[in-house]
Amino acid sequence: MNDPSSNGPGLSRREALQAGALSALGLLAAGAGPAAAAEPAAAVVGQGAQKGLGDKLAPDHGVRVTDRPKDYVTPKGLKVDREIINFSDIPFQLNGYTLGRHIVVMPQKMGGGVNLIDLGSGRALASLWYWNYGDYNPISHHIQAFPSSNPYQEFEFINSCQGGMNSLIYGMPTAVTDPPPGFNMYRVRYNGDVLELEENIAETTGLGLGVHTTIRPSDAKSYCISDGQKDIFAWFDRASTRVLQAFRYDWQGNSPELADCWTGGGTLLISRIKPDPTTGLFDLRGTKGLKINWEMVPMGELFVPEGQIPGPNVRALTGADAFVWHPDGRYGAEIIRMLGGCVVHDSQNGMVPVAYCAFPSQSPDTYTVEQVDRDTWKVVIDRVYSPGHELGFSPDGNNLVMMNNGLENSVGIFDSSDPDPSQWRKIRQIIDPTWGKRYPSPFHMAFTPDSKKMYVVVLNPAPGRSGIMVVDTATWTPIKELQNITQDMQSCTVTPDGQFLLVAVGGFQRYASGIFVLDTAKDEPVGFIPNPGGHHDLTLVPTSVEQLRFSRSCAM
Amino acid sequence: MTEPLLRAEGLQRWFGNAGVRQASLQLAAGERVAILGRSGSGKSTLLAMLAGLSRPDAGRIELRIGVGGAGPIDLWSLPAAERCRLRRGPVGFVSQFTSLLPTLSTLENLLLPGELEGRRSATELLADAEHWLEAVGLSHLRDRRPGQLSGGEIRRAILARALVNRPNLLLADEPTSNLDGCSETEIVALLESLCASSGAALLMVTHSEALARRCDRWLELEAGTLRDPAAAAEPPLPSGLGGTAEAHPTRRRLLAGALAGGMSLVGGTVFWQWRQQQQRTARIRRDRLQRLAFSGLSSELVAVERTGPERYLGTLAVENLEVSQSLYLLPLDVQLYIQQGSRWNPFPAHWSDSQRQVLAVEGLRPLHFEFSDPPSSHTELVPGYMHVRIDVTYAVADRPDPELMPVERRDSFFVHLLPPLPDAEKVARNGFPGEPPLYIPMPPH
Repeated sequence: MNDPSSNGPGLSRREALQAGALSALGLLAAGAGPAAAAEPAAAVVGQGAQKGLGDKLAPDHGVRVTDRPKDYVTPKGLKVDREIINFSDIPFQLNGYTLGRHIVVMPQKMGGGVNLIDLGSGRALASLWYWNYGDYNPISHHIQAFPSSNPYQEFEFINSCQGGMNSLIYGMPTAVTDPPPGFNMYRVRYNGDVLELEENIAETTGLGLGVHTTIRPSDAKSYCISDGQKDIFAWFDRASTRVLQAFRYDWQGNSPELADCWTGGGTLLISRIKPDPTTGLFDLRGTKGLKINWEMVPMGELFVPEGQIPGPNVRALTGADAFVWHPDGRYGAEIIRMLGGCVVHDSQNGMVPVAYCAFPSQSPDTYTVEQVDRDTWKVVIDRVYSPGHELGFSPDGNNLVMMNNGLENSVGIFDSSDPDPSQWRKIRQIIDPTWGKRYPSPFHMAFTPDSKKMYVVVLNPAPGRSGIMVVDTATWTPIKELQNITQDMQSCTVTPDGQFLLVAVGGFQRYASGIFVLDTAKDEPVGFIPNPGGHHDLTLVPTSVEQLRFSRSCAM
Repeated sequence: MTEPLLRAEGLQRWFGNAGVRQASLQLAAGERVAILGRSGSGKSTLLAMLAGLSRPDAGRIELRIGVGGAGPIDLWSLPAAERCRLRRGPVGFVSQFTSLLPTLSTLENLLLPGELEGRRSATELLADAEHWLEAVGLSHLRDRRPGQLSGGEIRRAILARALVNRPNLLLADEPTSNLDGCSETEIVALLESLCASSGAALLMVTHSEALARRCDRWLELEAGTLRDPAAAAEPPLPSGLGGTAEAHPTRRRLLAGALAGGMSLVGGTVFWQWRQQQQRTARIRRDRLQRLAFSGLSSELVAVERTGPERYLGTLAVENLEVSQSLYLLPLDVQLYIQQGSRWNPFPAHWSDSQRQVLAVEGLRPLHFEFSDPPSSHTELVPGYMHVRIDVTYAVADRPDPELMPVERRDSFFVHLLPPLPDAEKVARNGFPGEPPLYIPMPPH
C-alpha cells in the first residue's frame, strides 16, 4: 500500500487528489488510515531511522523521525488564539525616548559591508557585504543617502570603499600580506525589502576613490567623492554616473627637508583631470594614483612630514579628502588637510577653483587662486601653521568651520555669508584648554537644522573615551561638554526634526560600536543603539532635498 | 578591653572585575553582625576568606577561638588541614547553596562533621545531633534524605549541622537564599535564637537590608570595599522634637507611641536620604576617577630607538590633561607581541627600573620600556618590517594613597618595526620619502 500522506513519487495523480481530499476532511489525521500508514513514511525519510526510535537522527539528513502516536486524534473543536503582529505597533524606544521614523545607513569599515537601522522599529532592515560581490578588500568607509519621500519603500545611497594597504594599519595579525586593490564606490538601492548593489561607480568611470561622499544639497542630482591618498575629487552626475568634473591637487614644497616640506610653504597646484578620450574612462582604479600607501587617520597629517607614511609620491601630498557643499549648492570646498585649508570651487562655472581659505589662527584668511592655463590653477602659500582634518558649512551657509588638528588643535570659523568666496573672513578660533597637542582633539561635526548649535566630537584615542562638545553658534562659544562617553566616537548627524544627535561609534574593528544618541533640547545622553561593525560614518535617509543642508552634504 | 573573636585587616582578593578590594572588620564574642551588599559585591568572597576557604591576595585574619586563653591564630598561616579542622569545630559555616549530602539522611548529615572530627563518642554525637534536630524542628524528619525535604527544611538542617559541633563563630553566607519571605523570617529568627542559646557569634552576609537590620550592627560591602556606615558619619538627627507637657497616662502612652513612630519614620527618612546622598557622592567620585583614567590620561607612543644591535628602547609620553585633578600612575605591565604567521606571539619586555613606582603625572612625562632579541622569523605586512603590538597596563588613581580603588587602563600600540638585520631591498619597496624609519606608528585603536 502506498502511503497517502507522503505524496511520494509512486503516487498517481488520482491517488494524490484522493489523499488531498481525505486530508482536508481530517480523515487521515483522525486515524482513518491508522498508524500503520506512518510506517512506510518513516522508512522513506532516512535509512538510519527505525520504527520506534524516534530520537535517532537519520545520519544522512539529520532529520528527526517519530511515529504518529496510536491514539492521535485531531481535536476538531480546538480553538487557537491567533494574533496578527504588526511591528509598527511595537515602536522602538530608547530609554523612554521615541526617536521617530528614520532610517540610518551605516558602513562597517573593516566589516566590509553596510546596514540599515530603522529608528522607528529598532529593526536592522537590511545588510549587504561587498565581499560577496567580488571586492575582496572593501573597507566600507563613507556614505550618503539620496532623499526619498518614503525611504521605507525605496532609496539609494553611495558608499565609498577604500582598499590597498589600508587594511594593514589596524593592528590585525592578518595573513593577507598583499591585499587586493579595492577602492570601489557603490551605488546601492534599498527596495523596501533588500539592498541591491546596482553599480560599481569605479567600474563605470575608471576612478577609484575611497573617502568622503557628498550629495549636492540644492537638487540631489549629483554628488562628489574624494580621496586624500590620491588627492583627487570628482563630481558625478547621478542619472548617468558620468564624471562631470575631476581635479587633482599636488603640493610643491619650498623646503628640500621633508620635515619642513609643508610647514615651510610652497605651491598648491590644482589640475583638471580628464578621462582617456578613446575609452571615456579614467585609468585610476584600485591603487593607481596613490601618493601614500595608507590613509591619514586622525592626526596622521603629522606622520607624513615625520617620514613615517610610505608611498610613491609622498612629498606631493595635499590630503584632499573631502568636498563639502555650501548649502545653496553653487560653491563647495575641498579640504586640503596637509595645509589646514580648503579650495572653494564654483559648480556653476565648470567647478573651477575660485578661492582658498586658510584656517590656522596665524594664517591670512585667504590666498589668491591664480589660473596657470585652461586646466591648471595654483595657490602660493607662504607658511602652513597647522594641518586640519574636518570641514563643514552651517546649514544656513553663513559659516564654514574647520578643525585645525595636529599642531594648533583649534576650531577655525569663517564667515561664509558673502556671495563671493574670496571675501570670506575668519572670525573666530575655539581653543579648549583640555585639547592636547594631538589628543584629545576636535573631530567630526554636525549642526542643528536651525544652525544655532554645533556639535563637535572630541576624540581621545582608544582606550581613552571620547566626548561631545556643544557650541553656541551665535557666539561660537562652547556651552557644554559631555566627556568620557565611549571609545572611538566618529561622524555624527542630526535628525531632521532637530531632536537628536546621532554619533557613529566604533571606527575600527574591535571596540564598542553602534550609535550614541543625544537629546539636543537638553544636551543630555539618551543612550546607545547597538550595531556591530566598527562604523566610521552614518547617514540618515533624508525625506526631502531640503534636509540635505544639514546632512553629510555640507559637513563631515 | 576584651580582644575580638575575629579580627580581619586589609583583606583583598580581586578578580579583575569582582571580588574584595579592601575589607577590615572585627567581631566580638556573641556579637551578631551582618554584611550587606548587592549580588556581585564580593560578599561570598569575603566570607570564603574568613572561613579559610579562599586565600586573600593581601591582608590578615586573626581568630581568638582557642581554649585556655591561647593567643590569636593567624588563619592563613595554618596548613589546609588545620583550617579544615577549624571549620569542623569552632568555626561553623553555612554555605549559600544546598550542601547536604544527598545520599545521607538528615541525621546522618548532622553526624558527619563530628565523625570527621573524631573527638567525641558515637553516643555523644548522636545526642548532640538529636538536640539540634529538635532545636530546628526536624526531629520527625531525621530519616528523610535531602531530596525529600522542602527548601526551608533543608536550610534548617544546614543550620543544625553548622551548630552541631558547638562553634564559637558561625559564618553564614546568604542563609535565606531561595526562600520565600515567611521562610526567610523563620530561618533568621531561628538563627538568632540558636546563636543566642549557644553563645556563638554570628557573621552573616546578605543582600537583604531588612535581615541586616536585625543584627547588632551591619557593614556595607560595595564594589569590593567594606564600609561601616555608622562609623563613616552619624546621620543627622531630626530637630524640633522636644519634651512634651504632662498628660494623662493613657494619652502619654499614645503620644509616646506616636512620637516613637514619628521619630522612627522621620529618622528612617533622614537616614535614607543621607544614604542616598552618600551613594551619590561615592558614585560621583568613582565617575571622576574613571574620567581621569580614560579622558584625563593621555598616553602616546612617541619614540622607539635602538640601544644595541638587538635591543630597543620605547618611550611613551603620558600626560594629565585634567588640569583640576591630580593623577597618579603605577605602570603595571608591559608586554610585547610580534606577528608570526597569523597570530600575535608574546615576547618579553620590561619597564625601565625608574618606572616601577607610583608616579605623579603633572605635565608631559616619559615612560620607558625595553625589549631585545626579537625573533628572526616574523610576518611582514609592510615589506621588511616586523608587525609589533605593545600592550601596557597602568593603575590610575587620584591620590598617592588612594581611597578609591585605582582604575586599571590598558593601551595597545601597534607599530611596524625594523628588525635588527633589515632586508634593504624589501624595505626600499615601500617608497619612503627619506631614510626608512625605524618604526611606523599605526593609528591608535
